[in-house]
Amino acid sequence: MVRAVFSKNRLRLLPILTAGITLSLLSLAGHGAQFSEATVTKVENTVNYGEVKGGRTNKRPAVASDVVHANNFLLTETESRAELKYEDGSVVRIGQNTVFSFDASSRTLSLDKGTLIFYIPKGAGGGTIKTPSLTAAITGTVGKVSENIIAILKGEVTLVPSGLKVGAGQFARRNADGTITIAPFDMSKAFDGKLMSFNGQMPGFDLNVLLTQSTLPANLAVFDDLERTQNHPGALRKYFPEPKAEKQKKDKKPQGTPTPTPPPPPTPSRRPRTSPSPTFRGNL
Amino acid sequence: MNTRHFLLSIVPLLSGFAAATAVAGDGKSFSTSQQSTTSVEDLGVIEEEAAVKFRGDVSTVGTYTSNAKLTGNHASGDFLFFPTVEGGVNAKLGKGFTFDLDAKIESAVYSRFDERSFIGYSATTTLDWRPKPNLPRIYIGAEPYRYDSYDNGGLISQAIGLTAGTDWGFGFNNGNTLAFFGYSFTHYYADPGIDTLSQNRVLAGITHHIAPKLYGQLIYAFQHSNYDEVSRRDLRHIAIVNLSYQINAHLFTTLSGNFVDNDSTQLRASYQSAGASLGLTWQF
Repeated sequence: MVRAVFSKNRLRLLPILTAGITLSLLSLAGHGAQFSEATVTKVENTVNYGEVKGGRTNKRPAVASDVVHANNFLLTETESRAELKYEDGSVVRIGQNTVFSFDASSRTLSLDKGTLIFYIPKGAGGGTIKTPSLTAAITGTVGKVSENIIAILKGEVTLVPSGLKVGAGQFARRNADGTITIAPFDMSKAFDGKLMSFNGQMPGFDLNVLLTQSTLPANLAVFDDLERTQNHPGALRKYFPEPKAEKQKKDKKPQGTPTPTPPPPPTPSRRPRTSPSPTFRGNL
Repeated sequence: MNTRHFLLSIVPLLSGFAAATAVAGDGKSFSTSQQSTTSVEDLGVIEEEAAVKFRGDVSTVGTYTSNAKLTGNHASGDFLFFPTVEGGVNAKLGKGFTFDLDAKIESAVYSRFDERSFIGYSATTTLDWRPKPNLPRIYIGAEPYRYDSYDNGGLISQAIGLTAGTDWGFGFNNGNTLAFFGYSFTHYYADPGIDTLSQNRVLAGITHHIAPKLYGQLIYAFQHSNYDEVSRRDLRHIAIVNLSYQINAHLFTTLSGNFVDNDSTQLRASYQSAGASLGLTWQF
């Protein structure tokens, strides 16, 4: 009886399980599809779109709104740059003298030569960044890449195959002797470089990142200077001195036992620059 | 250095955090950037951060203020010229602690009321702690200052301020806007003693990235000052609007407008002023 109920429940669950698996597969396929092509959103100077067909390479000038398919490539010349946007929201900006391609199935961004910056949104499925000297697994990340450097502005990457983590504010560099250096870089220079503002601000990277190493972005020094020199009690006393009559009244306060004091030596008088204020009330 | 550095007063790094990690091979690390010229142009410099960072800037601001004498009388509008030379050093001490030292010589030259012109010398030393990048910063600091009159070389005011405060900020609007808040308490021990006071300051603001080289900023500050040796309390409101444009890596200009309302228990010390200024800063 128990077995029958179980079987019955299993039968009921089967369509649900099937639907779930199908959805999962569709979702995975979706990630691949979202990464199978990218749209060129901006081109500066000479950027070429390359296709490999039947062992032959064809090149033509790339223009904005071109759709770049996986396994084809983009080449830029000197003082030339381009931006690509993927359907999953990922953005890649490639710098001058660069050769760039990507693979849809493994979600791999390949930099054969030159520079790029990338933004992979969180939850987009991650991917891999590959250069001639470094390979890293990426998730939701913003980073700068050259042939021997991967610098992370936001998020984290994992170097392959070592498994070493490179976090925000750090870079990994393949040195001339084959070693890899992982070290912090100056995040205050994170916005430097033409690619960071090539087509507006790089998505996914905000001013808050800089704030993590900053003091408050407000300068009130001038107001403090003026307050201290013009409006503090000492300054008011300087610029609005007490009238002599009132000063003498204060000086003539009754004392316990008067003590003889020598007369003050004569001092050269100085012409006052400001006249005593008739409204002065003392006790600033 | 660039406009952001001015806006965010970037703080530096030191010791353990800055220590490079060398892995693989013979374990050696290299301090050179090993970047090509085009890579630097497109990505900016990516190199190990210096343990201790030095900075300096020279700036000049021309401003018109409706109430240069900062009294209830509004008939003292004047054009002021503020040249400033500033230098600083910054070091990250590890575990979220940062030490900063800044020294400044500044001057204000009044065009109408030359007897109000002054030269100021100040230094600010700050020890701050930010336990995690996105958490608020807590800091303590000391600021000795002295102002002398140009008119007769006489002392206007000198004091040392001891400060404790906190600030915090977060980015939104896809990272294009940064909101920030801060609170600080400062006690100034002054000479003459009538300038000795305690001050609470609350600050809120927004920095918005308008264009790649253009930033807008709105700041509001509220300040309560209570003098120790005289019967005076001030409530001050400051509103500022800034537009900063980065001309190149070392030079930026700022157009600014401000309104100040100081409500004091001392009649002469109450005032309102409005001002507009144009500044140019060279940072190195």
